[in-house]
Parts: sequence; C-alpha cells; structure tokens
Amino acid sequence: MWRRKVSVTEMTTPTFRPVERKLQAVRARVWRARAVRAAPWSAVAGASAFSFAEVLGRPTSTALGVGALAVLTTLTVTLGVWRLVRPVSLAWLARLVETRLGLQERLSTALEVAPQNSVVAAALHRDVAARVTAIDVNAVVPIRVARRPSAVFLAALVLAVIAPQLGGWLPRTVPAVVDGDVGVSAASVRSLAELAARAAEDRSDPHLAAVARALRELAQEAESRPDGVVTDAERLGELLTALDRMTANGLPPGLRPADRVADQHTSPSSLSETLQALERRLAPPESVADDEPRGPGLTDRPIVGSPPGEPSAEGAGSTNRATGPVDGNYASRERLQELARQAAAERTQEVGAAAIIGASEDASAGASELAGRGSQELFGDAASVARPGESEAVAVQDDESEDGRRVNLEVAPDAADPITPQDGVVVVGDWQPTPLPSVSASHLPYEYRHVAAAYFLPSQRTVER
Amino acid sequence: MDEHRPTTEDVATLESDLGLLAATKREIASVVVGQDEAIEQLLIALISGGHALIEGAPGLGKTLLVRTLANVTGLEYSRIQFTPDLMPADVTGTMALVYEDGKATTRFQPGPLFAQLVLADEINRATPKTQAALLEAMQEHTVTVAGTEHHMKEPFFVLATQNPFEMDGTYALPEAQIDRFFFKIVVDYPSESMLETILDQTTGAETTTGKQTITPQDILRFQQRVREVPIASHVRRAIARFVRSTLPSEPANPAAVREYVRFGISPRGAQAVVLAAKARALLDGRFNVSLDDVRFAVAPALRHRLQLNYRGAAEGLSVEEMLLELFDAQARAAIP
Repeated sequence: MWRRKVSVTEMTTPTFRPVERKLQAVRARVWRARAVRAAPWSAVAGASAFSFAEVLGRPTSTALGVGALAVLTTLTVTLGVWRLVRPVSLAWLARLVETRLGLQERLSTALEVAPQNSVVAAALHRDVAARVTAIDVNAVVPIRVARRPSAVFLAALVLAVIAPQLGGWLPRTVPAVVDGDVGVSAASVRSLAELAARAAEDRSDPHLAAVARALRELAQEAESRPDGVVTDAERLGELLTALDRMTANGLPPGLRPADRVADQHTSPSSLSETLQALERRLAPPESVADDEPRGPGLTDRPIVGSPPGEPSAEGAGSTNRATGPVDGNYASRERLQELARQAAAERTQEVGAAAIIGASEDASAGASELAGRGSQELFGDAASVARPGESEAVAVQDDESEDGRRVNLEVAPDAADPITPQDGVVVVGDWQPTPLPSVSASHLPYEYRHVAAAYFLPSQRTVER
Repeated sequence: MDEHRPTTEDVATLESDLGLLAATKREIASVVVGQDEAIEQLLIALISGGHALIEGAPGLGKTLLVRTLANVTGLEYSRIQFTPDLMPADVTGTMALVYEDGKATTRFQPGPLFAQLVLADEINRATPKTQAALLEAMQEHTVTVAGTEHHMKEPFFVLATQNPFEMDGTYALPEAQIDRFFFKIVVDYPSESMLETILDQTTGAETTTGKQTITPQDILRFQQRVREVPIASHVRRAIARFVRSTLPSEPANPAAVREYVRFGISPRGAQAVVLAAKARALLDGRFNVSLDDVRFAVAPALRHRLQLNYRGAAEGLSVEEMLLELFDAQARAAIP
C-alpha cells in the first residue's frame, strides 16, 4: 500500500513549537521567582530606609515615601543586575529545565540543531516534543521565599516599628540649624508679634500675650543683627507652634495648622510659610483692609444694602424664607450688571451696609469668579464662618437665569437635617439669628469684595436686609 | 533537497536499530556475566569505528567477551596470539608461490589480520615491528604487501589484550601507538554475587555462547549514525575546556596537572571522547550527547592517553580519578 513519506520538517516543526512556548513559560516563571527572591531584600531596604528617615525625624509621610522608593529601587536594581549577570536566554532556560528534570541535554541540543539535519536530529526533536508536554513549569522553578532574607526583613520591620520611638531618643536635626539663617526676617516676626499682641488684647488672653512678647524679643534680637534675619529656628518654631495652637481652636484635627507646624518646623521655608499663615489668620478684618493693597477706588464702605450708619446684618435673616422659582426674590440682571459696572468703575460707595452672612465650603456662585470657591477661600477660614450652630452659613448652588441667579439651595445654619433640593425647588430651613456677627463685606479683602459686589451679594435676598 | 530530508520511516528505522543495539548488549551480558561496563564500552568502541585495548588479569573473561561479541555480531573472527617471535608477515599475510595452470606465480596469502573482528592477544609480547604492522592496519584499514595495498573487510575491529602483571619480556606499546586505540577497557574482577552467577552458568551442563542479534551491515549503519548524533554547544565547550585542563604546560591549570602529568590529552583523545559519548547516547536509546555520556567515555577513552610523569607514577596517582575530577569541574560550570 502506498504511503506518503512525511518529511521530518513537516513532522517536527509543528510539534517543536510547544518547546519554545514552554520555555517562554519557564522564563516568565524564572522572573517571578527572581522577583520573589529579591522582594525580601527590597523590603529590608525599604524598612531600613523608613527607619532611617524616622530616626532622622522626618515626617511619617516622607519616611513612607523614602521607604517605597528604596523598595522599588532595590527591586529594580537587583533584577537589572540579575538580568545582566544571568541573562535568561532560551538556551539557558533549556539547560535549566533539563538539569532539574534530568532530561540529559535534550532541550539544549534540540534548540541547536534543525530536525532536517539528520535522522538522529529528527528523532531527537520528536523525542523532545513528546517530553515537553509533561514538563511542569512550577516544579522546574519553584517559587519560595528564602528564610534568611525573610528573617532579616522581619528584623527590619521591627526596627521600622520602633523607629519613631527611637527617633525621640536621638537628637533632632533642628539644633543643627539653630544658629543658621532660617530665612525669616525680623520685620515679619515683629509684624506677627504685633498681630498676636492685638489678638491677645482682644481676647484678654495672657498666654497669647506672652507668646507675643516672646516674638517681639525674637524680632528685636534679629533686628540687632546686620542681616536682620532670625537665626534661632528652634525658638521661632516653638513660638509659632504655640501661637498656632492658641489660634486654631475649632479646626478639625486634620486641618489644624499646629500639626503642620509640628511636622515642618525643621525646615526654614516651612517656618516662613507658617509665619505667613499665622499672620493671615491673626490679621483682623480692619487691619487687612488697611494693610493690604487695594483695588483702585475701593473703600471700606459697605457694598450693598442699608446706608452707612444703620445696623448691619447681625440677627437678620429670620425672614429669609424659602425662595423658589415661583416666589423667589432675585436681583435683576440689570442690577447685577450695574453693580458689576460700579465695581469695575470703582464706584462701590453706593453699595450700602450689606454683609455676607456666610457660606459653606462648597458654596459657589455659578458663572461668577467665585465659582468653586468655598467660604474657606473667601474668608480664609471656613470654620470661623461656617461653624455649625454659630455661623449663618448659606450654601449656594445656583444657575443663571434671566432674572439673575437663581438660588437653588440655602442651608440655614441651625437646620437639623441636611437640606437638599427637591424637584429643583429651593428648600430652606428655619432661619435663626446667631450670636456671631456675619462678616461685613467691607471687611473682606478687596478682591473678594469686588467680586462679591458684582455677583455674589446681590443674588441673595438676605444681604439686602 | 527534499528527498534527502529524513522521513518518519527513517526515524522509525533508527528507533528499531536502537532496539537491536540494546538486544545485543543484553545478549552479550547473558554470556559474559558481571562485566556490564566492559560490554558497554566494547560496543561503544565497535559502533564508533574504533579499536580497543583490553587490559585485565588472566581468567577474567577477556577472550570470552571477544568471542561472544563475534557470535552476536556475525563478524568474521580471528585470533592472533602475539609472541616475541611473531613476524609481521605472520599477521598481515605474505606473497606465496602458487601454481596456477601449470605456471608458478605469486599470490597474496592474507594473514589472520584479514578478518572483521581480530583479537590480538597479549599484543605487548610481540616485537615493535610486528606491533607496528598491526597498528598500521588498524589506522589505515589497509595492508601493503609487496607494493600492493590490500583493503580490510569492513567493519574492521581490532581488540588487543595485554596482561598488566606479567611485564617481563614484553615490549610495551609506545605512547604514539597506544594513542591509536580508541578505548582502553579495563576488565575488573566481578563482584561476589556475579561470581556466583558465573560459576553457575559456566560449570553446568549447558553453556551459552550467544546468538547473533545484529549483522555487520547493521554495525556499519550504526557507525554512520553515531556521527550524526548532535552534541550541544555547552557540552562540546565543556569537553574542550576539560581537554585543555589536562595540559601541564598551561599555567592556569590545576597544580596536580602541572606537577604530575607528562603528556596531556591530544585532539585525537578529545575526538574519541566525543565519538564515544555519541555512541553511548545511541546505546542508551537517546539521540543527543549528555554530560553523563561524556563522563562515561572519559575514562576508557583517555586513561591510556594521559601520561603521568615519574613523580605522578611514584605518588601512585590514579589517572582515572584525575580525569574525572578535571571533567567534573568543567561539567559543573556548564550547569546553570
């Protein structure tokens, strides 16, 4: 019977492809195994770097970043060096497999000879193709974590855990810059001292007064230096921390500047920034209005509402009932445009004794420049304005209409439940007068006054009380 | 070119050939008990196309081994007992005066060398001149008598024996000539259990001589196939480095080599190792050379090629151990 003779090329080539596929699978497994072997050492490096940073007194977030960087760097470098020293070629993989499975150089030989070279080569390829299907990649390259590096890693982990405590025993790095230039001018410190003194006087707070005195002394000492720069960073940091703590009541823990000061007072630039932040916080509205550069023609006169001399908005707002699409009380577009023109033409003196009674952090003014700005940005400190139960916070979510802006939502400060828009209709809770005064528009920094006069204030009925 | 490509039938034939080899090995082992390693080495030398020098004490079955090989392979067998008075013509043959059709004429009368399997018993007892005649035939597979070249019948396989103990009155083979032997097979004493089997088999009423399992044509085909067995580059490299490591003139080589070795391994020795490893792979039913095959071939292929110097001999160093140690060092380096 006639039988077609099948050439070796036909016979072996298709069956030999699985060998290469299998070797590729082994290659992937080899790299995974290498990564696992390198991982404990990388973790050791990361934990060590973290511990080192902690011992040096770096903030935890910084230490974590350094640790993560050390892990990645070590892993990358280790695998890179491994790749250079022991390249994972197909021939190498073949030798690895045949050594571990006792295949007696079958794979590496088969990789080097073509099946059509000879009958023996053809037989070899057929033999290899049959054997390769039984190769268990996991058995060839078992992935296991070595004991010794794991033990070292555990030790490093323990060190990382105790490192923050260890950092307390060791000298901090602050004294190293005590006598250096911390980049804070005497004038800045004196300015802050004066603000603190005024705040202390207002509050009748002797502790704050003491801090103010200490700041004055520090400023005086700096003024005596030729460069007029504060050099005692540690002392300045302590005073700023104290001042920060005394003036940051009511802030949620995450926002307490005291935390940030404590974290950052090893850095001269942070001292400077902290000082400026405190200065902004302590500056009374009058002083801000006095000290800050103003827009041309802007005065301290009230912007909207009653004529000067009349009582301002304290206690007002009880009439601020719900305003919806039907019975809403809006500023007209003409009025808005007029106010905008007045602001632009620096003729804001016509704006009366209006007041912004408050805004929550997410208050926005639609298309105005205030869009996306919350009261924190407006007033510098959200908590002092929108403090629950005290402030007359109004959340404004609005859109433009022909009549001006439609107020979709106002939130009364004492509303028991969160008020949400219902079917597009404004829902407003009962308005209760609060003991805290609203912030007079005239006390705002000029840039906000300008914007408020143009867009924000006229849209709210409450400001026209 | 396609018609030269091996086919599935060729592969099937090869696989059945390997079965023949294994059957041959079993058949010899059933007659010559307890000498499995020597049998394997003998078959390797046979299918590699080399000649072997068998060394062993009297009575260990050297002659039986060769005779059994002749029986199972169907090779024309001839035995030459070498003695000091043996002349070259006694081995190669001579021009004899014969009468044909009433006329006297000379005709070549082939000597006992003209066989396919020649047992040159106690080769070291013949004079160097006679040894040289044999060795020339081994090398060239031809004998020149009276200016006429006579070809040996293929396959041509010479097995020479020598007794390591009775060296008085012998002519030791010079290094250049001993190098022509592909293998030096050492027949060792059998173990106790094997000895029992030998006693049982050889002193009974029936003795076996072995039946033919392969033909001379099969052997010629094997000799061709052996050279086709592929060898991986890292194995080849390990052999080359190993051979280089036996040279006493290389400063980087181990101190023992530089101190105790007189001559290292020649390229012919390296060739013998590779060929023997290839043959061993086929004998083992595989189609490629492994490091194990090479290691197996190192001792029989090189033990008579590595010459220790006087100090090495005086220290009683084992050539085999030194060779295996040197090879293992290179083989380890080849393993990932």
